[in-house]
Amino acid sequence: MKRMHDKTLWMLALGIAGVAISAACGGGESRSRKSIRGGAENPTAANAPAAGDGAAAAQSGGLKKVDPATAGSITGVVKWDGARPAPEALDLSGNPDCAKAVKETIYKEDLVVNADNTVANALVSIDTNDRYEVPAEPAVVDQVGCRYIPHVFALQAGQKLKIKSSDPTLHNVHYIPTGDENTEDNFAMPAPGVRERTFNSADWIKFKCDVHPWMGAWAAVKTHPFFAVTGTDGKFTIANVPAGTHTLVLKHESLGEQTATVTVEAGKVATAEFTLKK
Amino acid sequence: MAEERIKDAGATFFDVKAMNRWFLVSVAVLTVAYVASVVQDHDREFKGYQGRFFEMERELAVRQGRAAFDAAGGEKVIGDGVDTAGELRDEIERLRRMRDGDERRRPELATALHDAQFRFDVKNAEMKMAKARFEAERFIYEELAHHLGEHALEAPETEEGKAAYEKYLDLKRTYEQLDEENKQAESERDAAQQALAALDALDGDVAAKLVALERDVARLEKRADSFDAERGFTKFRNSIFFNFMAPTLTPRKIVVNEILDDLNFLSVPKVDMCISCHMASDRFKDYPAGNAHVTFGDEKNPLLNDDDSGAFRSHSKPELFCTSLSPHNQERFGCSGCHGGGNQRVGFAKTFHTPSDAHEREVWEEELHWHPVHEWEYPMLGSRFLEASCYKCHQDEVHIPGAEKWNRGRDIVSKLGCFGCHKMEPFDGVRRTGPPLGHVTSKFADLDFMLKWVDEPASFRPSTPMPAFFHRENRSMEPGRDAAEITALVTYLYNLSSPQQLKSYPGSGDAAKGKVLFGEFGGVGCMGCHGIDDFPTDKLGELRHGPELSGIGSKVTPDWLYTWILDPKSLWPATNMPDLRLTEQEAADLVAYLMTRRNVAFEQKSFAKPADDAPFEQILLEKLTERMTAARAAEEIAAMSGLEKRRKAGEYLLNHYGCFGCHEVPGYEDAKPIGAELNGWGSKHADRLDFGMVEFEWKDPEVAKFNRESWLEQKLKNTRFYDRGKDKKPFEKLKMPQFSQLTEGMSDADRDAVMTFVLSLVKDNTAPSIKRQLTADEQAVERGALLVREKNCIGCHLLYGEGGEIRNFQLGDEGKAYYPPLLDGQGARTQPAWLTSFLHDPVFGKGDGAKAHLRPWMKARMPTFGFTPAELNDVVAYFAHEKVWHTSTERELWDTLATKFRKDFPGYEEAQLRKADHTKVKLFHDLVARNYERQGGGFTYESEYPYGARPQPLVGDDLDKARNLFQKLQCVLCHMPGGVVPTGKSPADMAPDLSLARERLSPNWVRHWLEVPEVYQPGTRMPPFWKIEGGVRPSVDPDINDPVREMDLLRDYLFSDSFAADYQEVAKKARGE
Repeated sequence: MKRMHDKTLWMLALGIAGVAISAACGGGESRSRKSIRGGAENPTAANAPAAGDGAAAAQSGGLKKVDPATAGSITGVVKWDGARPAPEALDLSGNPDCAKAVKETIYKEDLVVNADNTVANALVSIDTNDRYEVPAEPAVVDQVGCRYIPHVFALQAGQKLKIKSSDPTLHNVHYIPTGDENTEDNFAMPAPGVRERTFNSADWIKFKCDVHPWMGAWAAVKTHPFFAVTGTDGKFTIANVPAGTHTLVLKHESLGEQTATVTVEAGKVATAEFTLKK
Repeated sequence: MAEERIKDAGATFFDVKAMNRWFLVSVAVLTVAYVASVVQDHDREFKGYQGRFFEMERELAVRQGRAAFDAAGGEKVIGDGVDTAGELRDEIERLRRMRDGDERRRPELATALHDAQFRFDVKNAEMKMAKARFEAERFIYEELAHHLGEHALEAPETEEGKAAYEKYLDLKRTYEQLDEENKQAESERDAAQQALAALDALDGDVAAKLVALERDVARLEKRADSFDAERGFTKFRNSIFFNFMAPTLTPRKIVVNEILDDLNFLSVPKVDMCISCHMASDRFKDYPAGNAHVTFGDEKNPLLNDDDSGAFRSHSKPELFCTSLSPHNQERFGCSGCHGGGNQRVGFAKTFHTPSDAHEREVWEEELHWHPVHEWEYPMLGSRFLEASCYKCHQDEVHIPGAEKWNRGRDIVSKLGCFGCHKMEPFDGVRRTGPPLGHVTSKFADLDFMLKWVDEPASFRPSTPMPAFFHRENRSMEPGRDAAEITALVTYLYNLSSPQQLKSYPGSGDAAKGKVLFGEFGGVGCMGCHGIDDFPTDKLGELRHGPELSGIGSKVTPDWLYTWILDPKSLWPATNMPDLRLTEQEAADLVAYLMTRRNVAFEQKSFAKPADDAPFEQILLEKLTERMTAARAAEEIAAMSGLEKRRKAGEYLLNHYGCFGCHEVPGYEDAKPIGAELNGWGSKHADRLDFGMVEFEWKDPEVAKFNRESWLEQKLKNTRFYDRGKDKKPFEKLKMPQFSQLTEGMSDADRDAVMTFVLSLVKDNTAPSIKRQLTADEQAVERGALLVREKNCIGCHLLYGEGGEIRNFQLGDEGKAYYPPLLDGQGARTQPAWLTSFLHDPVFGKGDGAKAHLRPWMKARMPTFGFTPAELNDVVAYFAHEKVWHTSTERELWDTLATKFRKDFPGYEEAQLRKADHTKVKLFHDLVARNYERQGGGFTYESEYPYGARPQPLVGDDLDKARNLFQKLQCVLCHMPGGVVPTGKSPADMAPDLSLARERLSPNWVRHWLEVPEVYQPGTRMPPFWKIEGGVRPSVDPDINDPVREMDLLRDYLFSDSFAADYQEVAKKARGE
């Protein structure tokens, strides 16, 4: 009887062990091995083509191009309302190097009204955030005779900007973006030379020279090529503009912004006029 | 026979059969109960989480394995190892077959090698023999030629010589030819050897490559397998009844030896079982960071499904918590030490998870079957108050880096002066917040001002920290009671007051000049601390460091103001108001201006004093009957004069309201604060708080607000709330005044911050070993940090993004020129000795009206603070001993570690830090410094003065070069000595006078500054001459033509003996003189 019990217990124990071992070994080929090396369950393979498509789309459809056949142009003038403010001459005597380098008198440039009562250094551009193809040739700003030339200029986001110094004296170029995307920079140009920079986002950037506090310039960075800066005749021309109705924005460093609406027809010249006053 | 015996023996008093039946029944019941209990115990909440977690771990390993598999070339190259072999395996196969299958090839190669070896051996022997003979003949010929007296060895003249030469030549040719052949044989032998070796190695190399490629895949396969719940063995060991052996689904725990749980008379180490469910807490690289309280699902991690709760998130601040590299790793610090909640147990509701708001609560109730549980006094702190836990260990720090809410709370408590009535450890020994009341008769224009002020402080100045005691909801007793109490209080204070010696205001001030001095471009500095309605910002009306002065003309006398502005400490020795070194005329102008700033509405307000003595008698009666009979009290009152009645009532009321908590009152200098001590309040049981009549409502599980957080929130919103529905005598009523900043409807963020601070004052259950222990240096830094706050350096200066409030008034481009300098890394910039004397007296003895020499164009003046020597030491130590990149000696190591840190933990990019709370900047520096010190990095203050590289004395050629460089760079265009301003420039275009550099600046700092100025002062006008352009650091002086040498020379020149004299010369020249 006692033996019998022992035997049963042993059998039971063996049985359990058997079940355990068979359970442990019964799996056979590993599931993980299959899913790692199997083609069908490949989780990354399923995603791969989708990513490829996206990249292809971005490459082909990123930047717009203007079709000359459907483009017209905009021209106009920026007028001054009121008496012409007298140009204010700068006193450079505190800076012997500059005083020597500059032969003629130079004037303050924050508001330049031409003799024919038009306004120079006003930026006129089309209001759009579409990104257009970037020209290969760089924009240029020069430091000549302790002035920035041009005083107001525009370039495209992604376009190269050549910052030249033609003066034999020390300048530092300190530009301060008003937007959040581009970063401020400051570097010295102790001798004539060229530096290159690129701005990647639309912005309105102040350039200054801390050594010569009167020296300043403004750079407008746009995503498109539809901009112009008025000169000594107060006129501006924006060529190769796609047909359609556009909002034209005038920006002046000390007088702020104005807008106007123009409709451009293919092959024709549209006109616009702005009037500024104090 | 035997059966009968048995029957007899079994004769019992009970029915055996019935008993057997009952026995059977009870066995059945017990068995069922046993099985049921085992089944129930088997079915646990945490197993679901663990099962799902392992599923994700498997998925993760599979994904990584798949990536490794693809990287190794995938099925094409290494094959799946079962059905497809892959190129490499095929190649091995092919090579083996080639080797084994082609029986002739190896013997052929072996024979070829043997033959080649033989040929080489033979040739080699022949060559050596020929060489020996040739060399012997050469010696003989040379001897002979010498003997014969030949002139040239190559052209013998004697016959004998010619013959010998022929023989010698012959032997030479033979040798040379054999040597050539020997080399040929050797290379043939080598080629044969290589051919055989190549054949033997054929499959070996490819096999090794396969193993290397497969190693990662195989490892990840194994890892995936180990998490596979479908494997038979895993199933078996997790199955019911057998899971006692080594189940994968099992409770997990962390024993935290250094933080204890207080179980009434017994302190036991915390045992945190939280990781039984929160298994990804330290895995921020694989699982999305975020605390467990956030909502479900996350698109960022493809592993998580919509149904997965926040349990599978890693800690939201891995740079600080949980991971093995964090300062607070979870092995040592556990979870509940900070989060609270029920440790030693598992289950969502059972561990006292606390929802942060009603919405979260709803979601939890619906999805996680959460319900309020009350058995534990320390439920989890909702994420809202979590920072309260930081203070447990960070007790000696003024601001805890990264604990933004707590820091804000501490600042508010400090400004409101809560510690005046409620003792709390962080403010032990801090001076009273309010001004002294010992000389009110000299200060205020009239008695009426004080009456109206105490009546309703906010009606005069909405931003005041003075709280409102009267007109609160529990004070609607008899009308006129408030007026009587106020009259009594003010009368008493007037009677305590003694006159003060004041300078008399000469009356010659010019208000227009005073206005410019006060506020134009931030003024002489007043606007760093004070606001005024003439110069509004959107922050006007907020509590600032000093009182807003919009109506000051209605408050004080001109004499008092004049004296105060000229010498604040003469009127209040403990004041934080510094001396701006104003001349008497400037002070008079300021007084003239400030006296025009009146609060007309307040002036027109009237205060109705009680018409007779009755209300005062009532107050006295209430107070006196606390310790005597009504008759006796009436007798005493009757004996008093009208004034005495007011004074006595005022005295009782002053003691009752505890005015001396915030104000110095003569005779009450050592009075004990009247409020409840708040040390340990964060551990106070909710049962010990008086919830008033809302107790029954809030205890309701549906409401579940019966906790200390809700109590405190309601108390701050309305300090007299808990008196609702209660019948109390006037002196028994709640008397805590109402702070307008914390009232219901005001900023919830501020109130939460104050609550976080109060909740942080808990009974201390942490071992000293786990607390942040400050070194002597660090203690000085903390004392300094406190002074920087108390003296409000950050009112004008920006310090790691904090403060700089005066900039709000320094508008436009011109305003920028008047910005007081940044103080980030000040200790690395200036020499401690100079900084000490500068802080002691910024004008070095030049007296009133003088400006600091360094930046003469500034409008704001660096004030004279009157620091004690000990305070000076602490402030200087604070700046010098900071562990920030500015003070690091191995800048490259610091930069590398900072970059690595930024890569590991998002949210610390420079642009983000610039906008972030200053404590985050501090945290970033602290965490990088921690790694930096571990890597052996040092700080400037640890090295000998003058901290790092000493400037070298310049001699001869070097001195000339340095002089030339200084001129070439035209430094004097901006750095003009003595504050001279050339024509065409405004003072604001100028830069500091360099003659101070030698004694003021740290040479190391100058060197770094020359290299990267904009890193030290973003937006600085100093141009970086040696800025790396296109990967190259340019040289600016062709004579030196070495940028590093140029920077060193310039630095050494500034510190040289010759500089001072040269500087004046160069400046003269630059001015064209």
